[in-house]
Parts: sequence; C-alpha cells; structure tokens
Amino acid sequence: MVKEIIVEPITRLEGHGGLRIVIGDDGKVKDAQFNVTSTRFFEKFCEGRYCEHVPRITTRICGICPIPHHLTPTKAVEDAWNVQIPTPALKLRKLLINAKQYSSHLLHFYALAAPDFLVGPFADPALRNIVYVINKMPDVGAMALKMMDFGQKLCAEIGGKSVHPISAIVGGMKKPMDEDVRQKFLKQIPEQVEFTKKTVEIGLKVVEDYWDVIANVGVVPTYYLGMTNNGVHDIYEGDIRIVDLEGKKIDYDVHNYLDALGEHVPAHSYATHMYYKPAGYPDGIYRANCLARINCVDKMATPLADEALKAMRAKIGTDLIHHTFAYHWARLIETVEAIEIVGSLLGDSDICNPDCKTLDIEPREAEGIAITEAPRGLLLYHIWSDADGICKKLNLLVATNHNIAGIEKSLMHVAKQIFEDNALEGLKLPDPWIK
Amino acid sequence: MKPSFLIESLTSCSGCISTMISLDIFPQFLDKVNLVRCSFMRDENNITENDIALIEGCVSEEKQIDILKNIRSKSKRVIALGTCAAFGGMLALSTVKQAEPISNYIEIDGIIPGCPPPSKLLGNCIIRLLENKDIVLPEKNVCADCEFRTDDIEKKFKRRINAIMPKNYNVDSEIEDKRCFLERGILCLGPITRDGCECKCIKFGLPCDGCMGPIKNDFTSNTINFLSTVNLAKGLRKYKGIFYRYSKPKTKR
Repeated sequence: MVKEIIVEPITRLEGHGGLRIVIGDDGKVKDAQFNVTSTRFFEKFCEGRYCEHVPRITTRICGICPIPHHLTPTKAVEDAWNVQIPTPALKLRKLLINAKQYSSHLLHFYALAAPDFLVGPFADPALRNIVYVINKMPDVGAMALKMMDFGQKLCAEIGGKSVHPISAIVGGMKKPMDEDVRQKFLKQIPEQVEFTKKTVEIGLKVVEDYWDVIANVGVVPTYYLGMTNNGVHDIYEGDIRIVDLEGKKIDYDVHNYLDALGEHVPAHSYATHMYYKPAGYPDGIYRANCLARINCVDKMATPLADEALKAMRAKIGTDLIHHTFAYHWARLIETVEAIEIVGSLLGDSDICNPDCKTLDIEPREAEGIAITEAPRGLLLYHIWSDADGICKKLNLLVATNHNIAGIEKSLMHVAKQIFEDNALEGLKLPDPWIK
Repeated sequence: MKPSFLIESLTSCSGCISTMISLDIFPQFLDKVNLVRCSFMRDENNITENDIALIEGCVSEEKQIDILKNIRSKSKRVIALGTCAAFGGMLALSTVKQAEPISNYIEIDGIIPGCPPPSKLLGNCIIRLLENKDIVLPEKNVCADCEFRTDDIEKKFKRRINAIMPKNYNVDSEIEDKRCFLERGILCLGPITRDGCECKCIKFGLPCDGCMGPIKNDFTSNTINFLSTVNLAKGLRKYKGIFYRYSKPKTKR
C-alpha cells in the first residue's frame, strides 16, 4: 500500500509550511515535497507606488526577518537612482542588520532547534519545546532570553519600531543614534559576548553528542549560494557567490544575477525551484542560509568568528560542508560574528553623527538591484523606477525561493536513509540532557 | 487552574507572535498559562478546549475558515491578535490574494490592533486577559498623543496634500520635521487611526500610516469625513490604499 506521511503545520518553523513524503508499495520513497506559501502578491501591489514607499510595505513579508526586507528594497532604489549614502548611515544599517541576525539566530537556536537536541529527538512531543527547556535549564533559559532581548531592543531602537522597522530611507537613515542610547547598549556588550561564548560551548557539546547524526544523516551534496564582500562574510553588502560541487567559487556581480540564478516551476508547488543556471536543473540545485554562506566565504569578518570557522572546517575535515545538521553550527559561527560586529559598531561614535542622510537624490528612470543576507538566505530586490520615482515593476527573490529545491533534495535524501535504509536504527544518540 | 491559551497563525508574517515572544513579561506568561497550541513553539498542536484563543494573521485560504470555526467552538474567548486578524492587514492591498479579518467568519471577543501590536499595549492586554478581564484599548486617535498637534487642526486639513511620505529630495530640515505632517502637505493618517503606539513613526519623522486601524468600527464614515477635509493632489487620488493601507476589507468600497 502506498503510504503518505504528512506533517502540517511544520512546527518550530519561522513561517508556515507543510511537508509530504510518499512511500510506494515497494517501500521506496517516491516523493518528498516541502510546501510553503508564495510571496508573489507583494510584488504585484508594490507596482504603481512611490519607490520610497516600497520599503515600508515589504517589511510585512516576514516578521522574523523584516530588517532585510526593509534595507534591501531601500538599497535597490538607491542603486536605481545612483544615490550614495553617508558613512554613518552605512554603519547604522550594518548595526541594524547584525542586531537582527544576532537575535534571529539565537531565537532559532534556542527556541526552535535546541528542544530537539536537549530534550532529544524521540522525546514526548508535548515536552519538546522551549518552555520545557527553560523550566529544566533555568540558567540557560534566562541567558537565551537576555540575548534575544538585547538584539530585539537594539533593532527596535535603530529601526524605530519593534518588528517592522521604518528608519531606513532612500539616501540614508532617518535618524542617528542618541549618544546615551549608544552607551546603554555598549555597556552590555561584554556580557553579551560572554553569553555568546557560553552558547557556542553548548553548541560544541551538542556537536560532540550528536556527531554520528551530523556525520551520517542528511549529508547532501548541492551547490551553495551566498553573498561575500570580496570573499569575506558580510550580510549587508557584497556580491553573489556560488560554490559548485567541487568547491569551486564563482562570483557574480549582483546586476548579473540572472546569469547565475534560474527558476524552475515544478508541478506540485506554488513556489519555484531555484537552481544554478550554468549547471541546469536539477543538477544545479543549491542551498542558501547560514551553512551556504559559510561554504561561500574565504573567511569571516571578525577574529573570534573566523577562529570558529577554522575549527569547524578542521573538525569536519573539509572547507565544503554538505552536512545538513551542521547548519546549526554554522548559525552559531554567524552569531559570534554578529555580536562582534555589533560591539565594534556600537563602539564607534560615528553612528551618532547627524550626517546620516543625503539630500542629493533625483528619481530617474532606471532599474536597481540589491542584495542582503537575511537569516535564512540571500534576499534580492530588483526594482524598476520611472522618471517620477514610481515603481513600475518589482522582482523579489527571497530565502524561501532559494531554499525550497535544496530542502526537498535533502528531505528526499533523508527520507530514503530513514525509510529505505533504516538509518535511524544504528545511530549513536546521547542520553538527553533534559529528562 | 492555569488558564489555557491557544495561539493560531493564519496568513501572516509571524510578526505578532514574534512581538509577543519578545515581551518582557513573556517568561511569566509561559509560567502562568497552559499553552495548548502554538506551532511556532510547540510540537503538540491539537485544537482543544481552551480559555483564550489568540489568532494572528488574515484569512486567505478556504481551509483556514474551518480551522477558525473549530477554534471558535472550543474557545471561551477569541481575540484577534494584530491588524491582519483584526482588519485584514497590509495583504488586503493585494488584488490577487484574498485577505479578510477573522471577524468576517467568526464572532470575536476583542482585538489587539497594530502591525505589530505595540509592546506596551500588547503586554497590558495579555495581563488583562490573564486576569480574566476584557481588553481595554485607547479610544482616542493618534493626534491626541502627537507632539506636533496644534489646536487649529481644521485648518491643516484644508491644506493641499502632495505626498504620502516626506521626500528627502525636497526639503527635510529640522524645522520642517517639527510641524504637523498635514500642515506640511504630507498625508498623515493620525486623525483616523487609533492611538496606543506612542506615535513611534511620527517621532521618527514619518507620518502615521494607519497600522493600528480605525478607532471605532464605523471606519468608513470616519474616513469619508477625513477625506472630505483633505485636498489630495491629482497624482495621489488614484494611489491604492491611501486611506486604508491596513484595513481595506473593513471599508465598503
């Protein structure tokens, strides 16, 4: 009999989705699908709007990563109109996006992922959640909440509002940071860095505990997509980099994104499957998000994070890591970088400089393309402005687009391992930390 | 007995839940309630009998209607969490996707408006719900709390409105920033929007874009009154969602 496994809603996910695995009479996995809702309608109703109004609308695409959805369209309009922003604005934006990266990654690690490791993958589903983790490990819980809170409060401070920011405008940032606010956050940096180190220790212990899983389940070779700033990890500015199956790195100017990224429309989904165009579909299926970024870069931007990256590459024994479960590890390396960048930018009084916007702005008929890295993957905005600054057309590639094909490919791989090869039976699993 | 809470997410950005998780009182909230469903945080997610259901997001798919009705039948109180659930939200601007407030399908016992709801307001609402009290919302408009408010507000309305946002390629000096937006010829939705946000956008030098939704249910008449007092420049008259950026389905078109 054909067996269908449906998980809907997928829990502890940033967003809404479902998955469906089909197993045939012969016990073979026939299909593995990951379904999410599309964001296409936002592109449509941004048409006909003032270009500078678009970044105030697109934040609503994602309440988990609203900051990239605010900054990227702003950058795209600046690209179209050839606007150069003052340095203080650039620093504020980098601070904003890294503060978000920090809180978002920690939310993912502690609230979404950790229950699987700490309570154990086969624990009672009713207990496998952050509430239980906080009750059983109150010190870790309190630390996690303080870290997320720091990032969120900093975002609200610079963004102007909690969750959906308003502060980036074409030409810079609406307001500089107040000096007393800068001091207030700067004071907390040493504690936050300590917390981050403790979080990495927890992460490394998890890696040791679950090494058998990391090394053997879901090791799926794919291409990778990430942004680098001349090879260095950067989530605010840079160009597109693809890593192929052999680890060869290929760089694309963001304006040539269509040379690199192709869209395939599968029969079962609203959402398109993205692939690396020169390799074709499905060979060129790639993955995005933290592990992909880590695979793309030559080095991290900050010392502690770069050390952590080197340690990871040494432990796994390669610079090209296909281990899906290592995503959590990569996420922690990026968390380290985020707090280091946040610390150094808060230490720079230039973020309080009132010269944070330019008035040298003239709408013109042109196209603009910009990228940032959202926590879950590359975010690209391509905007067409008319001479009056009205948005004629908008094309968006969001992390969800980039990830679906890669997720389905790894889902198929893991489903085969579990249902065809009984891979779970021989796995060495640790005693759960929390019972 | 701890009160039981159910948190459901329809078509949304998860920003309301994200705001809730970030509240200072959230750890205490978790301690004081029995959370029966919240797929963002929990694996076990049956729709069971509960005291309070918080619904985030708008209705945009058939199957969500059944979920809503099921939740209604099992919940003592149902609260619309955020502007999407309360009024349809930003997505309602779409012409290709349906986006409706949950009250189009089920009876509700209150709303917590905002995109997302302001932390202070949300925190206060949660505390009242925990105490088994009704939610209390500000009954004034954003202008009531606005530092740029002046008494001759009627005069400002008669100004010509040329823009929906200050353009910093026009004048955007400090002096300009200290006047009421309507006086500056920039459309501000403060007069028809519920207070409770502490004028965050206005303090950042941006006009209110109405994310808290209307003050009372008679949004349409409020909007028409407001409309009759502003003199929109020609280019703005066709601009979609100019007065109902978050609440289109609530207005009769």
